[in-house]
Amino acid sequence: MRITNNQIFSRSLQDMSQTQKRLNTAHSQVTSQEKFRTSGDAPAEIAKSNYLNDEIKKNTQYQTNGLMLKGTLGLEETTLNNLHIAMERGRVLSVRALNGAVDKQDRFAIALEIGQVQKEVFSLVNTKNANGDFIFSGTSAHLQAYVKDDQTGQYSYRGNEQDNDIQIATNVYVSGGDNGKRVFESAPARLIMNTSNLLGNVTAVETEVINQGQFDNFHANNYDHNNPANNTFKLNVIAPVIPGNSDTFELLDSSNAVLQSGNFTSDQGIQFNGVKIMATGSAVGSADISLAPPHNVNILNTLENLKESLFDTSLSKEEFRERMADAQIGIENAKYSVISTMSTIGGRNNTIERVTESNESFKVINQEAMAILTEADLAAAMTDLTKEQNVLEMSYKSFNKINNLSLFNSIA
Amino acid sequence: MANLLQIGTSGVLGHQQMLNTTGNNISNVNTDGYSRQRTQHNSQTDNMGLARSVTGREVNKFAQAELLIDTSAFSNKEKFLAEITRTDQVLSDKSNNMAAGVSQLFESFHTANDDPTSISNRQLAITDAKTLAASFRNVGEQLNNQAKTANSEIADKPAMLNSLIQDVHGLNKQVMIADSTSRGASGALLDQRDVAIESLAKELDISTIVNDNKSISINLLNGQPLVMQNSVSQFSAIGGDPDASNVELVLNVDKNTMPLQDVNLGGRIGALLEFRDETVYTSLREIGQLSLGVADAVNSQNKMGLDLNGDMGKDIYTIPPTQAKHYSGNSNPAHVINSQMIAGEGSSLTTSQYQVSMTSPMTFDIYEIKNGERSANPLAVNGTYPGPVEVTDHGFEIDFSAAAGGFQSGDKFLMSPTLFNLNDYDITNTQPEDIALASILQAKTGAANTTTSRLAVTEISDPSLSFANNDLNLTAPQQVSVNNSGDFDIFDGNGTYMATSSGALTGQDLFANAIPPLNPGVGYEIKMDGQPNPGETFTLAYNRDSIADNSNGLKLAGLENDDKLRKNHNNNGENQMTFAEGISTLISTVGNQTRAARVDSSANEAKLVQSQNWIESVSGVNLDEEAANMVRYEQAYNASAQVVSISKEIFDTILNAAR
Repeated sequence: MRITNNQIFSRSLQDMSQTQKRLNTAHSQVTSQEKFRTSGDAPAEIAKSNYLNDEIKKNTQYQTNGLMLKGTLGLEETTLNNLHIAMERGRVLSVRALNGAVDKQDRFAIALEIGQVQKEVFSLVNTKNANGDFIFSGTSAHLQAYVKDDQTGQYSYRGNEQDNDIQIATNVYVSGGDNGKRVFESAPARLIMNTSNLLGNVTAVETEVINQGQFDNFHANNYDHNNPANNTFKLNVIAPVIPGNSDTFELLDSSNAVLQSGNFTSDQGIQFNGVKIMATGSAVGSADISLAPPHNVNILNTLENLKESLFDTSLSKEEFRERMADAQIGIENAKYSVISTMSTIGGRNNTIERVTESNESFKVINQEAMAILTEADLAAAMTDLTKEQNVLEMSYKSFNKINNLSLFNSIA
Repeated sequence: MANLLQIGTSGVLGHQQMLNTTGNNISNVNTDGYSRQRTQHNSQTDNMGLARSVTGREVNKFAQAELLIDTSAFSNKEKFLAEITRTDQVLSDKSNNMAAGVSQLFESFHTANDDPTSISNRQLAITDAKTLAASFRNVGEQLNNQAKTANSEIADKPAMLNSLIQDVHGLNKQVMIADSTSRGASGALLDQRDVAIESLAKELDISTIVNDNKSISINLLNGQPLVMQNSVSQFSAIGGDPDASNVELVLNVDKNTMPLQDVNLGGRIGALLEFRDETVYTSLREIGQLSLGVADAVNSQNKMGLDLNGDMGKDIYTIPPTQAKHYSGNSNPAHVINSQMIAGEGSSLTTSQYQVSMTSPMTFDIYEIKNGERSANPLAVNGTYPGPVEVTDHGFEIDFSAAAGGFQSGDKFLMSPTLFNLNDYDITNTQPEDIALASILQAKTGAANTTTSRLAVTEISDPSLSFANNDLNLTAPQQVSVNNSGDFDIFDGNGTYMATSSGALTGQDLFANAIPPLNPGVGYEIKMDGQPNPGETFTLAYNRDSIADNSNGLKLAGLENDDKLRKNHNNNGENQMTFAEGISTLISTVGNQTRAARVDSSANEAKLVQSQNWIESVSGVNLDEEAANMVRYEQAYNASAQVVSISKEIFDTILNAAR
């Protein structure tokens, strides 16, 4: 095939411009450190790297969420710890008050100190975080968690029962707080028995729990939520069959089965499943003794009741003992609730750590994958740059040589 | 004697002619489109030297025909590549990055969730929503500008095409005239005509026919004539049908106007049209679908929660309506129809266009136009004239009422629900308090409850059913108490008994399992966590005072992972994708087209270079060859001059002999 001058020229020109294009590409790879400039260069890699970038950003956000959550939980844990210490102090004081050697002055002093403990607990349950939100008010964070009703002297919970979840991974949500209803309003009060319906010659009846553990078991096994009528037992005082013998008593359950019976002496205690029942009177008569419905009491009210009992000098010995028992069980249960919340916080912290670590390793894996896909290998790019430079220089020289050849130079 | 003189003279003159031709070739070595010429002589039949000479071009008509085809093909691919490269750059540009905008918006929802009462965090979310809207607008505007540029380029083409056509026609006439003389048409004239035809081939796909009178007729590939033996056609640019802002070409042939809107023109013009109609408008519709999808998802989720003021959430984004374009054959151009996305149905929107065809003043058929083809059967609709009529499963509704009943049978409209003025797409409610992070319901346990059981709201599907005036309706189920059999009795806000849900079903879906069934629907669902004792009570209430609640905010942030966009095709019945996937699909569709265009362009370039080489090797000038020819002809010229000189000497000798 004939080669014409135009062909020679345009061919070398084309080769030079191709080399220049490749040189440009290598240069831009070196300066921008990216293999591809637009999606058209490598659509599949760019799409994949967009997806990976998205995942990395999501992971970073989850890490941030996890960090903030740790801070929040840290504040809560510290507060609960301080609450625990205060409650323990309250418990020790209530034990001291039960000591027979303590007289009225000492009781007043203990009551005053209980007051201080109560103030400390009150301020702790109303802790605010750095944003001014009450941490135990659930999601009504602008409402103070506990307020005191000045007329009744009782403390009530004003927050709500919702807690926020924080997302720390794609499907992992961790609770960011514990509302006061769960932590403080779920401590059960001491279980007791109530008396009512005195009939006949029974003039007074009192109950005192002397073996709380035994009575708690009996209560748990026998309390009927469906039929409250089944929770009432009848104490019948019966005249003796043979006159001259002492009166007898029977304790019947709601289906009139005899649970316990024996001789009856007025003002002498009848032991019934850990409860001492003292009835005053003689035959014939009866009284209703019922299992008190379980209810919860918060620590502030427990301490309030304790304080009042210590100040109240008109209480009988039995009543005083019962108040102290109320206080001790109340404080014990409140402490238990606080401690179990603290342990759930510990569990949550563990989850956060594990998830954060796994997020971090996913992030590293994704970053590596992205780098492989779209980052320029500097060594290869530099090599390309040098290679194309050489090729370009060579093509310049050969262009010169070829275009200087002409037959016209040799014809005289 | 006289013969020798004659012979020598003819040789001198002939070789002079050859030298001229060689000189012409050398001078024109760099002339565009020049074909080298050769002078050929015939010998005199009576052996009296050189006879008539013919100077002609060295051309191969097959190579020329091949060159035209390859020129059109390459110009088409090259132009398309140039245009789509710009689109590719716009979409891949990091500063307008829509993908980053979407993930930034959801990140700011996460940040707001960490501290729902913080005004500054909420403000961040509003700002990021605005930034995302702005990035959609920016990309949309750049694409619109590309369409505008393409349109103005197309509008300028007729002037150039017409002048090229006139040039060819004028040259045709000159060639016909010159051909009737003895010398024939000069090579330069023929070269000029070939150059004009090649320029025309770059713009359109053409086919040429050489007529007997040496004129060349040119047609479009579909047969429309451009240059005929005695007349020409002219191009002009008009507004398209139905979209008048799109420029289309028409061909004026002999007082008839032939529309070229649906003709595949090829060449650069064909590339511009294909780029504008398929790449730009498709990408704009995809961006429209994306922006509407984001807006609808955020709006719907926001309405399921409470804002910082304790009011029920409202729309965050403004969603503008679109207006259909009417075809030119319609009875009254003032009669328009509008369409609007249906709130909550953003995930059903497609990127197709729709044709609304009136079959009578009050009845109509709606067809989907996908990939340039109209669906065979009309789509199912919900509703009647004057609307709004919902196009089932396509996410939008059409309103005919603007025309007040003036349609005629045969009126047609082109509807693009995802193509709208992106300047109207923006954030409506710009106050940070308007973001509804809190759940609309809260659950409370009764004061006398002793177990730790609680109600949990598992789903809020439709706040409109049970909520009004920023409160929970008293007639909605909102109290649950455990009866003596352990089942859950459901009461309304007045304490009226409504239904019972069995306690044996592990406490899930209390309302769905209620007997008798709760009618009308409730719009939310609850479950019981824990084992409550008989007698315990639970209530649901409007979530007042819950300013630090982030339950709805978690759902807002979770929209990032939800499939809220409709794919263009069904993949085993699964046709939804996430926003990030949608953006990625848009970018990589254009990226793939760009890459294909690059491959096409270099393949066609290689083919073109091959054709050009063929032409060159037949018709190109090689200076060395011409130099050698010059030496040869000069020798022959000198030899012929010698012949003349010898014949003069012979004559002189005879003259002297006779003295």
